[in-house]
Order: sequence, then structure tokens, then C-alpha cells
Amino acid sequence: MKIRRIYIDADAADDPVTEQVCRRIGLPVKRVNHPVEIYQQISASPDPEAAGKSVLLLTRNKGRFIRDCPGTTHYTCCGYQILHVGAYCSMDCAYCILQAYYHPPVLQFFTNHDELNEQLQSFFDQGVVGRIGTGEFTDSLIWEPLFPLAQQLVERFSRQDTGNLELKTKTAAVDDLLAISHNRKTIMAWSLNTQTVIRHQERATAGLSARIEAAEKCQASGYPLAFHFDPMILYPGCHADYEAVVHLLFARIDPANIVWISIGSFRFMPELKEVIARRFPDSTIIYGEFIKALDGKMRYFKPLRIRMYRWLIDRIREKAPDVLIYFCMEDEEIWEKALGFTPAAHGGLARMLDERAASMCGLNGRVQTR
Amino acid sequence: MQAEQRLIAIGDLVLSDRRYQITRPENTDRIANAIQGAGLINPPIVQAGQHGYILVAGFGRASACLNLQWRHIACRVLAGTTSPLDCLKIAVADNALTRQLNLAEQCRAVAKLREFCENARSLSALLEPLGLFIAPQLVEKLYRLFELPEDVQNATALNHISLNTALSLESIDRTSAEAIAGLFKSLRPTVNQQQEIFSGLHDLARLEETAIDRLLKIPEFAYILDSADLDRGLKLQRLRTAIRRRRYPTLSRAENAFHRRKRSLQMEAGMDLKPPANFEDTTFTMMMRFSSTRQLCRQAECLGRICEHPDLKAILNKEIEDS
Ligand code: SF4
Repeated sequence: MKIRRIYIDADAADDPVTEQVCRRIGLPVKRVNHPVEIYQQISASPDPEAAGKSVLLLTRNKGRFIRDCPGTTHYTCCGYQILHVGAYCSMDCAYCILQAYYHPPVLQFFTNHDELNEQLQSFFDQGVVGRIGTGEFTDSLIWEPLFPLAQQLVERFSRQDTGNLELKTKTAAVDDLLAISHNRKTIMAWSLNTQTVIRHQERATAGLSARIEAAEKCQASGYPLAFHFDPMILYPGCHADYEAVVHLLFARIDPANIVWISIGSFRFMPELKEVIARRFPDSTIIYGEFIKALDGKMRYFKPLRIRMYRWLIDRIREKAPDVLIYFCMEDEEIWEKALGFTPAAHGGLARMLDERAASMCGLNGRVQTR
Repeated sequence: MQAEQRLIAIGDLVLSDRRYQITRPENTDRIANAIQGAGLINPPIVQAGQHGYILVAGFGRASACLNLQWRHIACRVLAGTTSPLDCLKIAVADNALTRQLNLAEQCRAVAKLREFCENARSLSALLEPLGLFIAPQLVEKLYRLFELPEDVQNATALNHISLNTALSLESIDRTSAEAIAGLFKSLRPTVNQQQEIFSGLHDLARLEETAIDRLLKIPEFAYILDSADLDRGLKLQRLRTAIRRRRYPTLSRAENAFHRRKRSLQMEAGMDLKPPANFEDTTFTMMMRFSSTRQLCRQAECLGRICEHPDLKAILNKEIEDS
């Protein structure tokens, strides 16, 4: 992480987490009464999205730590819950939605872990199987050099048996997690993409081999694994490239250790187009055959999505016939045409995934009908 | 303004020095005719320079007199102490107080005065007493327009390109910007069509790793643009279709397949079938408009028939033949 400056929100100044982070980083610290001054400074920069990655704001999460995934209308959501530990990311993917989600985006790490722990306890106490992850508004593992949050969470989840934690990352920084007793309650997950996409669209992320090598290490430590082919990007030669990813993956990873594989294609809010064009002038990902979809986001024209999904699924099935594959934010037509069934036939996607998590991670909670 | 009227040898005017030029007189014949008819009522304003007299205002009049082969011309000569800023103000006022300046002229006025003002707001305030009312936001846009090729500025002044479309041309190379200006000048698309054509060409050029001016020369587009048989309206329509087909090849194929199959259903008059927007949703709309029970019965019978039609199944399945 190339943080140049730390700001501490006055409310967070006395939190032990704040003190620990500052001690670890050893950078100049400035206390602010209201983050608005940081936002103004970042907004005035010629590249606010990059500027927001060089500043860390230590602040308290004033909303809920555990939230439902925002999902979107018309498309099937997996019913995942977000553990909102921080925001934004030190890596820099062209397609990253967070660039347009926050105005302006700033790296934020929440310090009120007392409240985080209380809310987690309530989540466990419900006795209901739940899938929760930290990789929605940030990458799950980028914070470890500042604070061993993932390590603490893995340990915390290992001591209960109703929920599982999914740590989703594009890093390979797993070494500190390998020796922790996880009790299979944490799923280590990687976003996968082709070498071309990683090289040109995912700045500062770990390479494909490094990600798979990290997954292999976690496999050896007994962690259940997950992989996300999301966002798939169409470009000339992409099919062969995705096939190469599948080969590489299954050459190192035993399908029996994979809890699920999700698939999704590049989609974006229209306002992200300008950000990508400005920040990634060599990227052509926004010039694909996109249409305005039912939720207002730009998506590849549906037959293109179906064709690309079918193709990838066939490749995965050749290697791992029984692995659970699901779509992230797609509708029933896509499910039916690309996978041959709809989640409704299995009690809904959330239930399908809850049951899978329960069996692969040894969860004992009730599986809810959602 | 301190000025003294003098008769100056026309060869002493440095017509190539355009530092104060706001207008670009296109047709000096009209001015020449007026001068021939009524004389030079309003003499040009000049200032003595190192190599002769620099024109401050009256470029059209001076050129007209030159074309009339006058040897001498009456001019108002500004004092040598008149500052460049004052000369510019005189240049603007001389034009703006007598007529409405077009956008390209406003653009030049703004660009020339820019270095003397701290910001757009103060420039706007400076222009107002000179008879030129330009809001600060527009001043900002005119700064940008001035950086674009002159063809684009002129096309904007003539309303062949909207100011916003012109400003989007900042993102492309100058030759392509000129090509777009020329295209819009000849096809006269509406503002929405301009945006559609520009963004289609821009995205295609990025995708195909080429420049817009080169893209416009590919046979698919050149065939339309160079056609002697098509009028302006048809060219515009065909060009838009061709751009869309190239930019969205699969969607265009899907639309074509849909229309072909719809035709094969041979629906009764008053019936229409509409696909979901962009074929994203799964709900199609069948409309039946009728004015008699007889017509409704015919439509109902037709409906029964097309429900069995294989093309309806293909439509609902959104089948597209491979290209
Ligand atoms: S790794 Fe994820 S959160 Fe980070 S920049 Fe990339 S897409 Fe955004």
C-alpha cells in the first residue's frame, strides 16, 4: 500500500485500533474534525480516484457493520452479507465500481471493532446459516499490513458454527493466515481473470499464477476455497485465455476443495465510463457491445453473455463436473440458457449457497428460506 | 480612445499581423460594394508598429480597399502608448457594438483577452461594457473551443456542430476533429444525432485502434458519404445505421432476425409485436388495435396461428444466426 498520509477522524482518535495502525505504519498523522476537508482536497486533485488511494482515513463505521449485499433489481442476488470493515482499495482495477461509488473515494479503515464484534456476535447468535464477506467495498486482504483484521476474523469465525466468512482477494498475501486455526469456517476466495485482463486492467494486483499459488497454500492448510470469474471481459482471443485460466486453476486446485465458483461479466454504472476513459486511456473494455440493462447498468448484450458463460461453464465442467457454479447478478433466462436450470428450482440461489456452505464448512445453523 | 485620422499608403498596412483580429471576413466583395457606394464611412483603426501599421479593427474594410486597388486608405491611428489590452478592447467593441458576434468570433475575443484576466468571471465582466455579454461558464467553454481546429470553431459558429459536441472533439486528434466538422457541415445532423454519430465513431475508432478520419474512409462508410445518388437526409440515415451496425454487430443481427421473423408471421393489420428493450428482458408485447368485431376475430384467428409458428418460438428464444 502506498499510503502517504494518515488522517484520524476525531471520533476514532481514542480507539485502540487507531493507535495500533498508526504504530504499524509510522507515517505522519493528522487529526481532522470532519473528513470533509480530506474529501475536498482529494476532489481537487487531477486524478481523485488515485489520490484517494494514497490517503488513509481512520474513522468509525457510523452505520451497520453487517449489511445485506445491495444487489440490484431484476437480477438474482446471492443473498450474501457484507461485513463492512473498510472502504476502497489500494489496488487499481480499471473496472472497479468503487471509483464511481464514492464521491470521492478514499481509503477508510473502521476502528470501532468493539461494535463490529458485538454485531458479529448477534449474527452468530441468530443460529441461522449465513455467508458473510469483507470483499464487497474493499479487497479482503489489503488491510493486513496495517492491522491483522482478517487473521482476527478467521479466528473468530472458527469458534462458531452458524456462519462462514468469505475472504475475497486479488492479492497473494495469505502467509499470515496459513497457521491460524480456521476450523473450515473461512472460505478463501480469489477473483480470477485472464493474464491479459490482469496485465492491462488490474494494476497492482497479484498475477494469476501468484493467486493460484496462494490458493494452493490455503488448500494445503485445509481452507475451503472459492473462485470468482468476475468480471469476465470479452476481447479477441478471450476464450482461449479463459480456457488457460481454467487449466491453470485445476492443475493446482482439487475441485473437491472448492465451495463454489461464481461467474459474472463486466457491468458498470454509466458514470463509470468517463472515469475509466480518463484514468485508463489505453483500456478498451468500455467499448464492448454494451446495452443499458434493466437495472440501469451497462451490460454485454445478453446473447453474448450467454455464449461466453456457456463456454466457460463447459470448460469448468470438463475439469470439475460437480463444482457448484452460480451467476452473480444474472436473471433466470441466463441461468436457464447457460446452466440449464434456475435457482428457483432449488429453493433460490441464497438457499443453494447456504446449503453448500453448510455442507462444505460444517455449519450447523438453520438454512433459511429467503 | 486617443486616435488621429490619417491617410496611409495601403502597402504600409501589415495585413498579415492578426494579433487583434476578431472577425474573419469571408466575403469582402459585399464590403467593397458598400464602400464603392457610400465611401469608407468608418475607417479602420491601426497602430504604428515596427514594420508598418498593425490593424486593430477593420480587417474586412482594409481587405476590401486593397481589392478595390486603392493606393491609400483613411485610418484612425492609435497613439503608440495604447496598450495591447486597450487595442483588444477596441477591436472587440468595434465589432460587438455594431452587430452580434458569432461563436467563433466570441471564441477569438475570449482567447485573446484571456491572458489579461485572472479568471473567466473577470473576463466576462471585462467584455460586458464592450458590448459582448458572455456568461463566465460560456467563457470557460470558449477557451476550450479556441484550442480546437479552426474548422471546428467555424462549424460551431455556423451551428453545424453544437458547442457541447464540439467540446467532445477535444478527446480526439485534430485531423479527426476536422473530419467530424466536415461531416456535420455536409450532413447537418440534429444535436442528438451529432452525439450519437460522434460517440459511435469514437468508440469504434478506439476499438479498431484507428483514427476517426481513417474510419470514415472505410468502404462501408465511404460508399454512403461519396454516393452521388443519395441526398443529405438519406446519407445521414444510412450512415447512422452503418455506424450502429458496426458498433453493435450482434444486437443489429438480433434486430434484423427479429424483424425478418416478425414479417414471416404475417400478422393481420392492426397487430404488432414488440421485443423487450435491447432483448434484455423476457417479456414481449403483442398489440392488437381494432375497430370492429370482425377485425378482432381475424386478429384472434391470426394470433392462434402465429402461436404455432416456429418463427415465434425463435423470436421468443431470441435466436440469432451466427454471422
Ligand atoms: S481489487 Fe477489487 S476493490 Fe480493489 S481495485 Fe480491484 S476491483 Fe476494486
